[in-house]
Amino acid sequence: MSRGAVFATFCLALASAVAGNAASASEADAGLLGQDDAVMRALRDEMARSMQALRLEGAEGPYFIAYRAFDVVSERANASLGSVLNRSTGASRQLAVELRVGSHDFDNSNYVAASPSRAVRAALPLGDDYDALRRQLWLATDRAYKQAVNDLSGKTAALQNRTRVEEVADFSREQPHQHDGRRPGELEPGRSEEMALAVSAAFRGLPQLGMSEVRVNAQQSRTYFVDSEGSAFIADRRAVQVEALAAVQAADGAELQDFVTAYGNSWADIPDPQALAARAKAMAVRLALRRDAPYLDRYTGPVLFEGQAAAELVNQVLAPRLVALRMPLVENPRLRTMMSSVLGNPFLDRLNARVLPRFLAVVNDPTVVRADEGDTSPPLVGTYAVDDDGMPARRVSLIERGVLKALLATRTPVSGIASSTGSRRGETPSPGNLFVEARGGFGEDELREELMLLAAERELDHALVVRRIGSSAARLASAAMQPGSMPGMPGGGSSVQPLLAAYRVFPDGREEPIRAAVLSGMTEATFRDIVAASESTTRHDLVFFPLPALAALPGMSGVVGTPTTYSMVVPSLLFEDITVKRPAGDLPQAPLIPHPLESL
Amino acid sequence: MTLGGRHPNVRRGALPMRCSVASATLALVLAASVAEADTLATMESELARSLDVLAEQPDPVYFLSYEITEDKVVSVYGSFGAVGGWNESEQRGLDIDLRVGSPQLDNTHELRRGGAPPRQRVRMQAPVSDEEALRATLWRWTDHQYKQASERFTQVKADVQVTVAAEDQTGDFSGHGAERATEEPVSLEVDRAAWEAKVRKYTAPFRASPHVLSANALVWADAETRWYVNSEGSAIRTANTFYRISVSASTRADDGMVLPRSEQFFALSPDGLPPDEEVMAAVHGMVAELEGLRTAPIVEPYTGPAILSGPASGVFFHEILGHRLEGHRQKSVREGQTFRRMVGQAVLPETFSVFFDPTIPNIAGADLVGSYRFDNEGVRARRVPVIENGVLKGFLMGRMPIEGFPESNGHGRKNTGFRTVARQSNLFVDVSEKHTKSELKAMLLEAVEREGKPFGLFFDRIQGGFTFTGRMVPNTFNVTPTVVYLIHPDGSEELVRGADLIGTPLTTFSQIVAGGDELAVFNGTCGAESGLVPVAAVSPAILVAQIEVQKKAAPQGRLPILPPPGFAADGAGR
Repeated sequence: MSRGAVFATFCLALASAVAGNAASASEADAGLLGQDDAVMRALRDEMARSMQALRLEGAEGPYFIAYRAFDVVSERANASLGSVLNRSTGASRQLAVELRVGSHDFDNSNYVAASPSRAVRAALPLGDDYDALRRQLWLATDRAYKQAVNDLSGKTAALQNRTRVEEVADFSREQPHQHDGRRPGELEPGRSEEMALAVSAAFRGLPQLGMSEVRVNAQQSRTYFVDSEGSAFIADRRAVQVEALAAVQAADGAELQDFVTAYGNSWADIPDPQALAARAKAMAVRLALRRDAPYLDRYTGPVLFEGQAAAELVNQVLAPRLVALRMPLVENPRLRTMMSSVLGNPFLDRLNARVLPRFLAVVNDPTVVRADEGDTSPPLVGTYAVDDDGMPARRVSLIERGVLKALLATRTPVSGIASSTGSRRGETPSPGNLFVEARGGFGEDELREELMLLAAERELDHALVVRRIGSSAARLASAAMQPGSMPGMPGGGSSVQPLLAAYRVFPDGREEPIRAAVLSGMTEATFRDIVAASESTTRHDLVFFPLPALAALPGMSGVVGTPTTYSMVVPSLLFEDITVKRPAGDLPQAPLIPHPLESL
Repeated sequence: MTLGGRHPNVRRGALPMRCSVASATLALVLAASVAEADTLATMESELARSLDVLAEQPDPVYFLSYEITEDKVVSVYGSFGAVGGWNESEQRGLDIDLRVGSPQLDNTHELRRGGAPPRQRVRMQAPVSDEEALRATLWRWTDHQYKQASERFTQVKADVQVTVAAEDQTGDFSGHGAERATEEPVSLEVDRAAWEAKVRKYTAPFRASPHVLSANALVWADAETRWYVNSEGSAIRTANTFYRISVSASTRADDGMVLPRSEQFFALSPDGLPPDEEVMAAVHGMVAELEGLRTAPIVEPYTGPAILSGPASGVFFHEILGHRLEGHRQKSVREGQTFRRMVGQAVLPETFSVFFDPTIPNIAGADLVGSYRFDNEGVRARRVPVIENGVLKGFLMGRMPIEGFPESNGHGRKNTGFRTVARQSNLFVDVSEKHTKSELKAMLLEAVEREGKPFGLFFDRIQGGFTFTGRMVPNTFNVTPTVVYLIHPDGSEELVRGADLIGTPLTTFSQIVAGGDELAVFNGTCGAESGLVPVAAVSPAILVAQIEVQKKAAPQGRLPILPPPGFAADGAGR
């Protein structure tokens, strides 16, 4: 898949955001939501007709239909060194049909046929032409129904000669819920380009930067949702995303990258271009420092992850285990093997078992807008009122005193988790705002002392502090690779993206930067060996990739999920025993031709 | 090693030795910030700077070109009388042709061992509005391309050593004189509200028919600017606009066969687009034809005489002749090379001539989208006669020479991101003995009677076609018609469905009999190794003594279960 395609799906899922306080008040007395709206009427009317009459001879009719219509106005601009590389803006309305045949206990879902069916999507007309809307809904529903009947018979046939060891329902039963999140807004045309130009200009005049790019994406969307069980919502969402990326090549050819990101629910939440340009420039200075820093061949011992590094570590290693993904019945044996290795989540067997030290807790709360009372930073980016199943968002305590209590779930049950936690974002469950809380946390100095103490116990003359880790989302296509390679997958033989800011710390407090390093053998189990955490926390906005390893496989739409942005509030985390090593793999050669600025 | 004649104006500053900034501080170099960079001059000077280094490497670079293609695109689309969305975008693709070795043998040489290489698209982008940004981009990608090229050149040398001597001993590249041209920039004339009105208007008539399952319209425009420089001293800026209106709709027969119809209008300026009345006349024709097609009988596989309408004939020549005259196919060991040894021989009736001419932008009031002034290798466009009075004269040539044809004739084309090969431009079929429509029909009926056939065929409208030119597969073509009529011996015509026109090139060519007196234009987009390129075919209707039709692939899906909303189950309106 090309970078472009990934980015496009990304946009839809970015639809995070505050679904508004205007909600609720009118719901109780309003009856059906959006009766004044042609789109909602068209969705409801075609749904009612299909529930009643859509039936093939010898097959059952649908027992459930949900329509999701997304109006999206988006504006994207990519720039390099103050000059536009490309930009685009446009408006469209996309429909996704979820149609189920069978029963909640056993239906056409959670099944990947030999030639997997694709989620039924269609373009709907913009505006309020009721008849034109109905015509497209009719055709899309017809396709979805035939596909569902086909899948159900395929699935039934596949199970004919097997006994299922465990019966897990295919679809959870939930209370219907309505929500009006209409909050009209404007996209503010032209701001993406202005931002991309201003921030990318910060990298001008720096011949060390072999490559730099700024990507800006702004999106205004309205989602219309109705289902045949009575749930409905209209939600206006806005998202702005700025990513400034740069790379240097060290004298040995090693390519080093870093980035600055800003995610928000509106332009008001994004720092102004000057502020971001200043951060971008500071990032370039960090890169220059790393370029000339020594390597670290291998280190095993205590490592302190601070700030962004702690957040990315949780995002990439722990958070994917906190979502409940169902392993579907897969016809293709190769695909089945691949999927079960990726979808196998050890935490499914660890409910009520200890997965973190006792002093740590994790809470997911998409209902809060700010991390603390009196917090003046921009609103959290993982806040929403209803999820993409129409279920109300709610606070879920995932880990209490180190013990796993729940996983984030959609209406697709998995073994041991029967109902939704209101966590569907895109296709799969994703965190909203994730809070990692430490009881009896250490002060910064205490934590540092503890780190040095642990190092001394091991007779190490230094310890390691990691301040930044690469992101799956904010990456440049490496110069050593063809452009357009897959995002999301860390390289260098590690399950975590490379370390972007790691330092040797010596007993006298001196810090020495490390050029490039990766974590080795880091898994969710490693988190049990956290020995201490800081009292203070920091907030980071991240991109959650549910299953990057699966994204490249064909027919994975609806299983893989889409990347979503969310906020995390996290303390610094001290691990007792971590292996950090030099990245594996050959290095590209340094450029033969000097940078143009060096020869002017 | 040749380095081509560089243009004297190219600035060639003295280069310092490999610069390395050892300290951890940032070396800040102030570059002139140019609001509107002189893109060509920047490209030329960066090209010269790169060559200074790369021509001195162990695998020296002997040719280098940069091409930046900027596309500013606007589109509005919709269906069934409503607007579905719109898009405005701009992007700038960068292409680098970097050659190490020598014109006789370089890194682009075909590797004869192993399977055909996958068609790869390398997407590089370049900013053009700023000198520093453009220089930095060209620098980075030139270095990247050089490393790839020298790696491949090593493979090429090994491949040449272990394979038998090539049949065609010509080299890999032909030089060309410097070309300088600067065309004025172009911009698009877009009134989005007016386009939205068009999209609604063009698709609304389909609403009345319960059997139409898709009805889409697109209004689209592209302003394309290309900057090209090379180490032979060429510096070219060209500017084009393309406008397109497309209306497509489909229905399904009761047996599940999908029956599509589409009308495409291409133009090189907004004035070239048809007025609404003309589009609406086509739309109403489509509505009626779809209704007719839905219940039309199916043609069984058949061989016999047929008339191909002008557009059908244009596509027919494009597929069976045009693709086989693309120069590089005469050399590749994976190609069928149908016509390679037939130069000087008669391949068509004496009354038929065929030429390609990208320099003709318009004929009989219709714009031709395969027109251009320079190809993608900096070679000036020109007319290329390929068949004169039935005799094969030559091939379409890019810069890769083939036996007997050492030079380019301005047909090195590609879409940005692909490697250039010889491609078609505007194809013209020229018939010296012209027959009226009724004469052609009379000739067809005579043939039907002579051969005792139950009927003849008239291929009226077509969607497009495809052909296989490789050696590993049968060398066939397929032209996919959408509207076909049976012509019964009594002269009556009957609409039929489900026929694809197929054949093999030499047999089919020997069956072409006569041509008509009215030229028709088919504008389209052709896809091959070097991506999608706009092409046109201009041809009169032709009579073919024997063609073959095969059954169209038919998806086995059922018709929609419910009637369309607002219609009763029997299809009656509300």
